[in-house]
Amino acid sequence: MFHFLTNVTKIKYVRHNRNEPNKMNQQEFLHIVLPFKDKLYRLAKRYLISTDSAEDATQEILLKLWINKLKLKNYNNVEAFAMTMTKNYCLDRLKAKSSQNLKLVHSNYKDNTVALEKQIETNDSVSIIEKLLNELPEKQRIIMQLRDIEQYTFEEIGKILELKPTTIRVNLSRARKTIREKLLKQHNYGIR
Amino acid sequence: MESVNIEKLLDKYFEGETSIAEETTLKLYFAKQNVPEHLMQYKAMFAYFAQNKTEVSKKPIQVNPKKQTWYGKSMAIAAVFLLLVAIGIKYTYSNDKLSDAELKEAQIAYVETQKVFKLISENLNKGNNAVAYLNEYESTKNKIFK
Repeated sequence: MFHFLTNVTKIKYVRHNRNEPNKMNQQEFLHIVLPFKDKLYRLAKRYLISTDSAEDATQEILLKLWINKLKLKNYNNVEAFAMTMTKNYCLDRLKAKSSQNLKLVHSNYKDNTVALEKQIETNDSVSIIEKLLNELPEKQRIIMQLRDIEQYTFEEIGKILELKPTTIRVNLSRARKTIREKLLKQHNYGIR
Repeated sequence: MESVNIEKLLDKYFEGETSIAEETTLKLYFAKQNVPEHLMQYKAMFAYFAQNKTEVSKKPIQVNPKKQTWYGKSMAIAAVFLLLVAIGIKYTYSNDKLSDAELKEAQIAYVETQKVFKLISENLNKGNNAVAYLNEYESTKNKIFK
């Protein structure tokens, strides 16, 4: 019986020692996560449009990272990993939403009010860009977000979205040209 | 920078061929006040990029520090297991150590208890027989009052 007991304490001791270097407290975790937390939020918002959904998504991703915090040190690029997680999470959310029969969902409902607000402030040209950007196809929208706003390189975007650099370049060019066309239309309309 | 150069950069930009540094140049150029009239429509676009980058999540980070870790769980399991083992050991040892005198006493107690139970059941049966008469009364009453 005593032999058995000493065995148990030995195992406990070894495990404790093994865990020590991998342990991460909340401070360390925040130190890793804070630099790109808002990037996750902005990416989520570009996918889900609604601010509330984006906040929830960010929270969810951070929680997932916290739960797997011991594995974080094995990834050499935590930021890209977190961005990919955000992408997958948002795609899941969008899929779940589109599979619902009820079409009067939160985002649809909210979208209209935003459009109404925007009609009131039409002369705010910056918010027009936001509208134009959000009208783009999903892939182009996200690539433009990552490139023009977050200023990632093509390699990094490729890692996050799991796409080839050439695909990214083509989509980015298309997105920028679409924005330009619509802007020109609006611009000329303003002149005439 | 010359607006001619900027136009060249813009062409490259719309083909998706500019580098990060060149895009930064464009952003800085359009952030300035004196942008020529024919390039004015792009100003809002670059302004939006800069503005959106400052948008931040307002919710504070909430990670649940009470979340049980694998280590904590394994410790809890080990503790419960040890407790069960201790109880088990205690019971097996105490059962084996009944002395002969104790065994005899237990036997006697068993026999005595059986006697008492028998006595009770006999008396109970007598009572049951008496109650049977009441059933007789019930059936007769049913015959008369239908």
